[in-house]
Amino acid sequence: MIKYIFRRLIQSIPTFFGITLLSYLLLWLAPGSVVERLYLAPNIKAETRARLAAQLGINDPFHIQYLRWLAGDDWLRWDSDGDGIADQSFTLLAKLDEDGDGVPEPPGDNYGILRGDFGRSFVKKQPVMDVFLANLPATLELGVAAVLTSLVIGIPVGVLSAVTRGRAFDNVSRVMAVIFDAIPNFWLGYILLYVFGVLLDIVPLGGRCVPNLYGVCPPFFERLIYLPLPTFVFAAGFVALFSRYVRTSTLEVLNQDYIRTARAKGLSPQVVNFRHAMRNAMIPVATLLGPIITNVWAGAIIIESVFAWPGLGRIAYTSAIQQDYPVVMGIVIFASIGTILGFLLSDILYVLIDPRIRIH
Amino acid sequence: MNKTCRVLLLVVVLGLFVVSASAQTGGILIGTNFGGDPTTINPLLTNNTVDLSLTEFLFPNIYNIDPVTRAPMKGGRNDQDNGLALDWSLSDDGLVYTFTLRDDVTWNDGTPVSAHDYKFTFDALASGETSSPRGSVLQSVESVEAVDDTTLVVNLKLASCRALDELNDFGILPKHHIEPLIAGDFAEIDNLEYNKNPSVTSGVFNFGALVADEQTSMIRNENHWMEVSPEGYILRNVPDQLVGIEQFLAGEVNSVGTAGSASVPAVRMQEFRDRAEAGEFQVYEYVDDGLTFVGFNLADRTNPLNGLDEDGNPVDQGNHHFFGDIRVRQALAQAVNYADIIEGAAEGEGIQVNSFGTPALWGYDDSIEPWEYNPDAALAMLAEAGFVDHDDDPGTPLVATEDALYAEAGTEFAFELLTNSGNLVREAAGTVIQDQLGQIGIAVDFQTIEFGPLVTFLLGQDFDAIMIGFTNLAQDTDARNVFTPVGDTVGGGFNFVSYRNDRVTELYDQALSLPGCDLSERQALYHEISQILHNEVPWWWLFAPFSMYAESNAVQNWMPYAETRYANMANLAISP
Repeated sequence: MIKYIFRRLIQSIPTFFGITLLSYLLLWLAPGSVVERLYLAPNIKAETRARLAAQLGINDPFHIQYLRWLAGDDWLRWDSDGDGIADQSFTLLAKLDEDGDGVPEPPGDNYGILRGDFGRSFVKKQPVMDVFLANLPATLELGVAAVLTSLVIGIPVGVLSAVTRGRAFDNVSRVMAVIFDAIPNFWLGYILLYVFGVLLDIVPLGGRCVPNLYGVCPPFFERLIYLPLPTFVFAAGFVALFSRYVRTSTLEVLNQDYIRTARAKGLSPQVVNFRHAMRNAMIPVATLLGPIITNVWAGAIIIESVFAWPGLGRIAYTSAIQQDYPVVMGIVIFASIGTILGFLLSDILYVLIDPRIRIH
Repeated sequence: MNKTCRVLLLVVVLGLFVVSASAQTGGILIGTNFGGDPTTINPLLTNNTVDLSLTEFLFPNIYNIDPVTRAPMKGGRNDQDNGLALDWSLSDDGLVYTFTLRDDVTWNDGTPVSAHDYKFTFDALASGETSSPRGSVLQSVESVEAVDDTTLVVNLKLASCRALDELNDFGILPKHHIEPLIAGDFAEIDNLEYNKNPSVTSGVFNFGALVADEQTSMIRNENHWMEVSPEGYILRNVPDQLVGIEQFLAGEVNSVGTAGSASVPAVRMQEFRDRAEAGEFQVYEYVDDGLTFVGFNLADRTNPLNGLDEDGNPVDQGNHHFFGDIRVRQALAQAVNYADIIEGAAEGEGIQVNSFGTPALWGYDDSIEPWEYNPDAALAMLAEAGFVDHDDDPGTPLVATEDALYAEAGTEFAFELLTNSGNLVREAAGTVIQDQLGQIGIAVDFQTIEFGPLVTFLLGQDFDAIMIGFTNLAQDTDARNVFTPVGDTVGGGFNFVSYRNDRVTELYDQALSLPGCDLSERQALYHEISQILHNEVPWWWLFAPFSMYAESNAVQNWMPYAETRYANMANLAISP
């Protein structure tokens, strides 16, 4: 098994680099820049904008920008005698005096994402890692709540739907699954906000808490009121997915010989359905966990924006709009690593849960 | 004491109790913020409304602004003001300003705010090593000297009437706190923790906390030189304007928008007006200091060139095949119904402007008659310019004849009008323009594109006509960068339409270097410029929107002005 995991991780390395290259290229090709967006005002001189662009390094060629982001720039231009002035450079890619003004450029101070340095946000003007760490708990809170909710609702509904096949519950649950799968979650979010937040005024209109003047949020249990709506909207699609998968797999299991045997032995329907059938019907659910992690990342961008939930999804959205490349790329990296690991987890769980599967 | 006296005493005591109870103080003011977290809370680096809504209450400035006239003001109104200058004078040659600063203002750690702080902040800016966008001051200021704690001398490179305005373009940093942190390297200012958590400040509030994507808060400065009433000010992040308004109507927040933004959309202004009249909340309306316009590219868009060569000589930039001819621009100015545009785009909540600026600016000339809708006159003028309806079918475009100045004979009158997508006001205005020009035989290819690409086309001078808006123009009427060849640089200049009129350039130079900088004399020069710009239509002057502040009734003693929501922050009282 360890060999298998190791092999899979090795295989994912080219995938990872492919993702970074494509993502960076797409952002680089996007017209406009953060400098134009932030500093388009008649009272700001063109020279000032040019200086800011030079400081951010956004005028450098693509390969230099990509390399700097990936592997840092401390090896491109460095200070060997400790006087604070760059005196050595990797001449193939960078000159000591890039702009030809007779003064060496400052030594590189970026280590690149491969060494854990995601750079600084152009807009927030702080390390990207700090931005992540500040927003990650909110996304985890919402993501975990949504996945748990979808499991707790989706699995029983799927099982019950299977055992009541063709009857009212099954028909209603299948129709509901299609509806929740089809409804765009941003639309559902706004409708629910309008109904419960504006018309009925029983939930707040977005946010995660009301911090006090010192920025402290109340404890989790005192701010639960903020969680139901975004969780419901987030989980709606997952519930539909889980219930349909579980229903299908449960139907397959219910036709197996060992279930008939269990029934013949006189076991109660509850025991047969929920102890014997459900356990085996869970195998495809386990394999869904990987894709679900990907969907949590993707869904967070929309759900968090609609509900003003201060997580990574909202940051990803606003950073993309503001062309804050370091943050967007950092989130892409996080999401791609999460996706790669999620699919690996699925494969491992599949093997662990189903003894009929063997790794070759 | 007889019974009558006792009753009178009781009445007096009760009266005092009632009076003291009604003179309420304290409370937390909560505003809404649609712009995301502050980028920085360092007043040297700020460049957006959210940042400025915070630094306004945390840092001192060199002088106060009169909230009514928006002009520099000596001394202050003795309430919320954070300006240091009690007085200033300008030398006879117009090259040296000498400021006398007040001596009773301190940082919240007790250190006096002094001329040395201003000099330190200016030097950081002048070093060019920070990412400060506030470099306009360097166009006219050579150096700053702190003669002593309360005397500041500013040496100008050239006599410039904008210099005074530019000197107040940034808040002042605490030298004693920042200097040890950067060890002489101004570039380090960009990386200070202080930028997100300014511990040493000198305003009515101290900084509270920044909770990422949720809110930013400030807390009453107990050591401020005057008594501050509100316990704090919170800017709560909301995803969009709609949600912010609903939070306001639900009573979750006290105001729609930040201290620096109005934010009641035009479509809801009448509703807010009615509800305010019914006593539900308070509103304040004014004409915004920004305008929406269409810029005509006057030069050859296929070969964008700077207005001046390296030696400062004029460059032949060619002529746009339609808009290079002034008669075409004047015809277009009469070809649309401005009332329809304002109604369609801004729900009627705006005012047509006649030239550069808005009635909110001191240099704006109200006496100029705006262009009027007159399609017959427009068609006659287009015919004079060589564009005729060759087939008597108003549904097909006009065609250029041999008489057209720059268009080849047979060219159909069709052009591209760009604006940024997502701005509903501009999208609606563009649709109205497209429709009305279509009625007189001008085909407009109206396109909405993302802001980033739009800016690339705009600054690259690669467009026929472009609709955008400029906001926050209140600082000074000077628009030398916008309407003279100095600003006509491809890729970065704001004279992106390549407008050139030697008289206008001369007037701008005169207004900027007028000895004594008398406001009324400068005003006369700007009025002449406005008249020329009105006549020559390098921009299609559209409208300035109305703005509206909305404040809950819980906020007492509220004293708003145009562009100043809280002119007396220290005296506000917010009931729970």
